[in-house]
Amino acid sequence: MKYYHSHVIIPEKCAGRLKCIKACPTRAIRLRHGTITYYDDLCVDCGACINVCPEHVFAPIMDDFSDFEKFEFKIAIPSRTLYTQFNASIHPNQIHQALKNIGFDAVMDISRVSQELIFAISEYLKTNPKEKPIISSFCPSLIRLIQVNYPNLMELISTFDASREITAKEAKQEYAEKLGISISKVGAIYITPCPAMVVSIKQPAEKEKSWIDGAIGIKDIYNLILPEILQMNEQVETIDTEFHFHYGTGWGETGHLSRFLDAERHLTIVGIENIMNVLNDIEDSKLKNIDYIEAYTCPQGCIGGIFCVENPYISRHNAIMLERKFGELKLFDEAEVLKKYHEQYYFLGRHVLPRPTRAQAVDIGTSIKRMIQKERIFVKLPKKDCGLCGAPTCETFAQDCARGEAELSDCIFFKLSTH
Amino acid sequence: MQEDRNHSIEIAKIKEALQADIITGNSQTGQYVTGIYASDLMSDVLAYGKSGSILITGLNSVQAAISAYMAEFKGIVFIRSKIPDQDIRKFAEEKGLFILTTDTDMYETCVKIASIEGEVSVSTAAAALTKRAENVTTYSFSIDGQDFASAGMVSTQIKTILKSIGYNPLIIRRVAISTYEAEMNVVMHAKRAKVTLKASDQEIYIIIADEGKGIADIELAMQEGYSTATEEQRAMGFGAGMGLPNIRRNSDKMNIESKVNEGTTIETMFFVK
Repeated sequence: MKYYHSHVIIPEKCAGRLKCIKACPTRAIRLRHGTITYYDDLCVDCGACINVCPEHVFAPIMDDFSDFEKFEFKIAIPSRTLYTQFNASIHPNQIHQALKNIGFDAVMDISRVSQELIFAISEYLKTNPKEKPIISSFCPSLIRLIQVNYPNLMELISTFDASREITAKEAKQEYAEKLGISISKVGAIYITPCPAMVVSIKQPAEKEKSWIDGAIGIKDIYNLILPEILQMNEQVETIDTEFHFHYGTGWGETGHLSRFLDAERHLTIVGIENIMNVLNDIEDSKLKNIDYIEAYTCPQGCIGGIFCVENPYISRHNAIMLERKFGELKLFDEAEVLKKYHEQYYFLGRHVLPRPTRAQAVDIGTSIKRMIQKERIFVKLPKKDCGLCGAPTCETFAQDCARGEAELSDCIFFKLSTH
Repeated sequence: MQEDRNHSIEIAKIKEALQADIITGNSQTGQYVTGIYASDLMSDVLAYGKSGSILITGLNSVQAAISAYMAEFKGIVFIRSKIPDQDIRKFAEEKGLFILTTDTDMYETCVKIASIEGEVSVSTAAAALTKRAENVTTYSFSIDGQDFASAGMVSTQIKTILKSIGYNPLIIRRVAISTYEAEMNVVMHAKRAKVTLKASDQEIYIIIADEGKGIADIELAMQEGYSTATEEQRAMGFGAGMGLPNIRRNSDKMNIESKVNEGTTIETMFFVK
């Protein structure tokens, strides 16, 4: 199976700095015969390579605004992160109005669904599920990391759908009905802080098909809406009297966690290295008293996504200000949410399946033979992890040689001895 | 290293039998080799070649020389009159490999060497592949008692190895849990331990042998909830008395032996199929 990824490689830009090779947390990238390549089964779309490369060899594949012209009605669904890119003196309604000015027909924020979802998750945890801790399914890169590196934790991934998906579904159904047009004519476009969200739309690991039709990075939309916002007068708040905006507390996409979940039994983790440490502990059954884990692979959570414009610390500050102004829960009908929960409204319907990686492609006997080869090669390598062979470490180089994907003579230390 | 003359052949005799030319390693003709390995597939050389052997090959490339060096061979015999180039010679000289070249083909070369008086292990790629027992990879690790900060490291390393071999996630999870519990027992109760992992296509076998106070009553220790952990250890979240029962529950076979004031050895086995 070919895995979709949200970037293309532009080899002619590569200056051979090897930064991406070293930065990749799943060691998927190699420099082979002067060209950057990667193993698509190992890539989890964390964006580390895009972030670290000064030459922009990894170019994110994003939708263009013109791609959405095929829809009769276009709905923008902003990530919570979009609001944190602006000073708190800018009202969320101004941001929504600016999105409409640049061509969206409607804007739907995910906050109501997010708060419903967290309430539903807390209800689910009350049923004391057998397998714990439940790992949040909101960060697509986290899901892919578990698929690739922690396949034995697959069944811990939450079977709740993401708030962006549920919001898109509701918005599309609502407007298709209101306008009397086919749902296929209504487009939902997510405004995303990271490329991983794009992958979850184009090739969802979680389900057959995403409700979202496309995505635009925050930095692309920022340049379009900023002039609109600057031109607006502050009276805009009154334009839409129906406007109810809620910005919950917490990190990343979901927020509100602390409101419903028992803080003693829930963990929030950001940054891929930290996540890997915790996942290792879960594999050893070390975390016995934790029910729920919310994790985001970006260093600061979604505000650290590579499409964000603002410094993540400033964004965090803006988020705190938003919490103060719009932190109050409105429009929350507990009985209604409970009813929907019991009707399985918030669930994906199935578990996320593991992704077969290179290790599983051959039988165990062959694999063990390769391990023996790898160890024999590894002991003779200089162990300097210089990366000049094109692999991130001497260990990965030994693995590649054992798999017949690299040649021993690619090691510069052997080259030096033969010339 | 002492050479076992009864199970080896002098390089000079090989040269003579093959009427071979010496390309590098003139001064090594008095040395002995303990095995011969004939193959053009360098991946097999790396997997199955035994150190101290010579490689018989028709692969005239620097890969052959590097592979022979990696597998700790003494030298290479190039068959069918292949003359190695400058790169190969320079590498061989630097790494102390001798190189011979002969006009005979691979089969004839093997027959001629095998008929020399002396005992060597003769193996070819085909022979090695039929031996299942060779498909075991072994690793060892050590654990220090009272080192709570590093507790879990061995279990993590073992997991990484098993994952890259590509075992079923469920078996890896069971190995991880039981190894972690055993590791915690060592950290809490013993001075140090040696951990051995043997992984094959049939089973995963782990031995944790510690030096420490040992267990006086194994039957009692195997009971759920029985613990000799100190108050401090309990305060840190350890010593719930589930360690040994968890190891037993997660492994397919478990054996425990202990001598008071000497140490405890736990063997666990996990069947692949």
